[in-house]
Amino acid sequence: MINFKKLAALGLAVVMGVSVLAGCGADADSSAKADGDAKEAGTEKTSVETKHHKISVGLYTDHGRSVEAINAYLDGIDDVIDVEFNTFVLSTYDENANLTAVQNEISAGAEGIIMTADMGTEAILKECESANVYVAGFLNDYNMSFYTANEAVFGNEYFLGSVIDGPLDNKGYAEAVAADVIENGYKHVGVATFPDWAYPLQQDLANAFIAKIDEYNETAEEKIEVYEIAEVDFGTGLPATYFTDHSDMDCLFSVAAGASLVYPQMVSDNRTNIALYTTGFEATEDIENFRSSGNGTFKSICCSAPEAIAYPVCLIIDKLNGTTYSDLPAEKERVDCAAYQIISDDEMEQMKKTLYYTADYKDAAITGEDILSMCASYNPDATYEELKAKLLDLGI
Amino acid sequence: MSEVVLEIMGMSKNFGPVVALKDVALKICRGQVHGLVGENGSGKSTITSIAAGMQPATSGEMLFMGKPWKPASMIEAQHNGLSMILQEANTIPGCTVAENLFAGKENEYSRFGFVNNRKMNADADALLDRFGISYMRGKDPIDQYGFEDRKLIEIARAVNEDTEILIVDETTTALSMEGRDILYKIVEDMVKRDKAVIFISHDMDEIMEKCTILTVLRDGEIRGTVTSEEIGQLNSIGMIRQLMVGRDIGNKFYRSDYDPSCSDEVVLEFTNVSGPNVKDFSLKLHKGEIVGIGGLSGCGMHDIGRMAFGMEEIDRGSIKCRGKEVESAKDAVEKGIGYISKNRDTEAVILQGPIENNIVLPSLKDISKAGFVSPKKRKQLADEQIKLLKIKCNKSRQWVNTLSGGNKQKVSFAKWIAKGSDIVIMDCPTRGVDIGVKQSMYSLIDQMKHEGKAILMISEEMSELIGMSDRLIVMKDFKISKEFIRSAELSEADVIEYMI
Amino acid sequence: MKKGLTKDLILNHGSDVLGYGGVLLCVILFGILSQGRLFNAYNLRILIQAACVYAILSMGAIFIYSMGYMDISVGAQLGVYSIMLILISNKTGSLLLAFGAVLAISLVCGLINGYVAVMLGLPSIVTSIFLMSIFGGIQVIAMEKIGINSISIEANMDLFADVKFMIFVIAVIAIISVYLFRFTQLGEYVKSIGANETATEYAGISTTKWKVIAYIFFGICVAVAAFMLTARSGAAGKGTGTGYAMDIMVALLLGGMPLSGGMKAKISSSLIGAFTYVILSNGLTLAGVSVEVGYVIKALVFLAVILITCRKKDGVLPR
Repeated sequence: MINFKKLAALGLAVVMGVSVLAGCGADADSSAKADGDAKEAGTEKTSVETKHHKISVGLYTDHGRSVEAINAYLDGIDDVIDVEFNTFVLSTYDENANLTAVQNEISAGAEGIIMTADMGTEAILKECESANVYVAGFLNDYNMSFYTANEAVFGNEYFLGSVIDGPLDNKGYAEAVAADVIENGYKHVGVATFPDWAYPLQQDLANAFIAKIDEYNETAEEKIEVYEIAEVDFGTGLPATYFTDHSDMDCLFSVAAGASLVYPQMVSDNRTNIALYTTGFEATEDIENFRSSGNGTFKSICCSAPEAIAYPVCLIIDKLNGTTYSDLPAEKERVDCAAYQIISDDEMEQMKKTLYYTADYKDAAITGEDILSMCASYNPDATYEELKAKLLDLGI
Repeated sequence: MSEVVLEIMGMSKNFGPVVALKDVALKICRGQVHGLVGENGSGKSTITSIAAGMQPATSGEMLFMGKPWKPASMIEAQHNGLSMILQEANTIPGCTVAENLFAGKENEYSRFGFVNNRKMNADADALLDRFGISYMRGKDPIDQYGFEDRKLIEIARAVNEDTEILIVDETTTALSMEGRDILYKIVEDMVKRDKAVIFISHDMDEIMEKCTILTVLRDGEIRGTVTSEEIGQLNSIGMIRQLMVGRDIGNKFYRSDYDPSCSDEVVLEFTNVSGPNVKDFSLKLHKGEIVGIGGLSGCGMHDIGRMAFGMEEIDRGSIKCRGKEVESAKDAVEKGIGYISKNRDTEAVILQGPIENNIVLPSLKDISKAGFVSPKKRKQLADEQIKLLKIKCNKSRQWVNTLSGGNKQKVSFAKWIAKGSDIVIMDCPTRGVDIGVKQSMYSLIDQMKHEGKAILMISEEMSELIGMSDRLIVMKDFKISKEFIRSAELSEADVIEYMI
Repeated sequence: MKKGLTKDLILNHGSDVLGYGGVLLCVILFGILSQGRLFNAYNLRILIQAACVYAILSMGAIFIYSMGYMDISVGAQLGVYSIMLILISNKTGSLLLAFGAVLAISLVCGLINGYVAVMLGLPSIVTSIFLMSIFGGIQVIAMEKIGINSISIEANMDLFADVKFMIFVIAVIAIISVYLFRFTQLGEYVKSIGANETATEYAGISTTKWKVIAYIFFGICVAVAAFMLTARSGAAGKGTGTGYAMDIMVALLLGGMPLSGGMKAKISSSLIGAFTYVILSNGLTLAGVSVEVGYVIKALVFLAVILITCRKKDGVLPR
């Protein structure tokens, strides 16, 4: 009797599993068909002979606004540029898991891999080299968290380069924030960053901000007090006592995902009256409470456009097609892109029209056709400098 | 004949190819204590478990209070007035006594999802008082009580005013004298209120005393019915035994000789041993001697066995095996001591494991050569014992939990015979074992004596102590109250005098 | 007669049959859905590479799980051992010395896991939580001291990252495990402890001693696994090893190992489980299943296996 139940349970699970899989299979088929149709339409429109490729995109997380935006963007461009994208999840801590994930993608037929996390990069490159698969980075700064192996990464012929999250030198944002702080007359300012060893560049941001305030203090009658820098932990966020230690704080510059790691503590400490300037964008509380909306806690946010993925996409397509830009440097590059620096309600209105916010391909700043025209394979006149310039055009 | 409350018609039960019940018809009447007797595996528990909703019958019908009866679960049966007290432990560990008593009835005590513990505990206390077990309280955690007390809680849970039929399935084997009295009182009360009781036990004396009608089963079939008039007759026990076993087992039940002699060599010596439940206990156990220890359940005799096996600390005195102190169970086994626990299913055998693994467990070290245990040797050792003790099984890989109580006990014996232990401590060696197996156990113990093994037999069964021991030690209030030497004249009355 | 045989097979070897059934099901299902790519030479190689560490760890873990215990410090131990391997070998240039040091520490941990629990009368899960916290702390502190996310090994590990070497190591550990488990006192006793610890003690067996030995063998397996892990990725960081304790538990369950331990434990559970676990992820990718649907399917397979392997009478879930 009991065995029968077990067999029934097994049977049921098998049936469910198969039907779910069969469903996906059907989906895949129909989308492939749609691919075909779209391809015909695409070729007609752009009159460019494209070659079909398969690129896998490893994302550092499986949820959130940026993932939705990236997925929407890839769905939008794949028909036009004739690339089958497959997204998979990377671990931010497990080298071996990432290697396994990349191997699985290669086995599933990926010709190129775009990585947004760098754990296990060396082993992954070694694997890709043997499998003749190209790797490029996106949102990924191999130079910082991976400096012991920098040469091994950038010197590898299967690594094509990486575009980082925003500008390499983002001091402009820090200075803009400082100006806004001064203008609004905040006098007691806190600063928070991730640990130095994790993101050294962010320390520069904090320093630029403090330098600007100091400069103001030299001439000001009523000086601005800046508290010691708080270190934000990836798991637990801001130190629990930062607000209680500084009971008269009226402003905080968080150079660390403010919406998820700092704001919750402001709420629990009932200190949402503090003006929060932050990096990162979640499109949740930060948009509901931005300046004139909600409780107005958020005064600024900063992030970069998902369309920057066009850089690794173009590099991989050209490499796979065997074409190169006439001006492609021999050294692999770590390029930057413009940032969305949102410090006013007007700018937020603009932000709301971007792909990042809407997750709708029709709002994309770089279209599929743009990508085709930026690839050396499909446009002999395309240059590498143009591609880089396009990335710097993405900001607000 | 009074009103029939439960009628079973043409009931059969098959477990695969094994026929457990064959076309059984049975009527249970009001005001009766209906005994079911038979060897292990004769189908007694199968009948009651079907009636109580634990499993369905393969075919057949039942009428309970005139209506067709087919309970889907024990809870449903109990709800309709048919309660059963199980052979195995059935309380929920980690809960309080009250929570156990009212398991499944929390709704009556809860409001908005919160259980009113105070009211539940008070009701539990009242219930416990009614059953005369006031030393237990509703708020106490169940785990602080022993197996016997937990059994009483199960009884208190099973019986209420609406119970029409109470099934007692070998519950008394788990109970002390005091616990039994409580149960007997409940049984008598049920009879007084014109309800019915189905009583299953291996203890023939108990059966003869308490039951008003008996049904004898063998191999899943009814072999005879003994009415109350017949129960009173002198030769009835012999007759019932013959019905149960299917042959005349004759007079040779216990040892036939009355020769208490043994070797002079002392193998196990207790010198002024004291512990929490033992005071100043001294004893010399000789090679080839059977020493019986008897007494009431709480007299400390069970502690003696555990102490000698190194499983219980002693406060004062010493226990020496051939002149050397026993330090731990491991040490005891190495010195040639074997221990058969009275809690067979929890301490003596691994139920969830094959017979072979059970038998070879203490002997593995002996048969391993440079760390290697030969599967062939293991199997050989187990098979030898299965053959020697006539353990009824298909193969040595069969799991112990599929065996009947008597065969489980044989496995527990086989461990130490295989190991070659020459001092065997047996705590209630024939508890829950049917007559056929009992008889073979006794002849085995006799044979062990003649092979020169020393046996310490701790038992609650007076007749087997008198029938088997060379020397019988009676304990009372943690102390030795009397020592008897084997003789034909010794009677139970003589012994009981020193127990109470 | 034949019918009777099948029945006997299902009744007595139910969990074995179903354990193989699970892996067979995965292989056939994904073999078809991936249009045969599951059996590519490349795919077979990466399957072995991915399963190697899980297989080694779970073979050691079988000895612990057989007793009805579990060890959740594996992940943190793995992380610290990997970092230590890299640091010591980078400093001294001797891989052997590094491995020796790691092995020594793993033995001490085995001792702590097995002995301290008994000595203090704690359930062994408590000591393993204790070890997990300590090692987790050491790992974070070490990496913060070094000041980067991930450190790479300088020594050339290509030989050890080779799939032939991996097969060799898996085979060696498998042979040792099977031998210990089936033909020595250790294997018999860990199963007995899992099935009934009291009765095992009443059979005159020093359960403490054998628990410690079981944990020590597990410790050796963890050290070897850490070596193979490092060889494969060539790097280790703050989060290396995180999640492995759970992965192993899942793998063992998929292999048909009851969590309550006991006589049904088998070494084959660990190999079957490790490969099923890896094939599941690999197969879903090959079949082109999206990440979200992949989670659902994994959950379904897991649920099915749990329902199958749960013991008959002892309730729904193995303890």
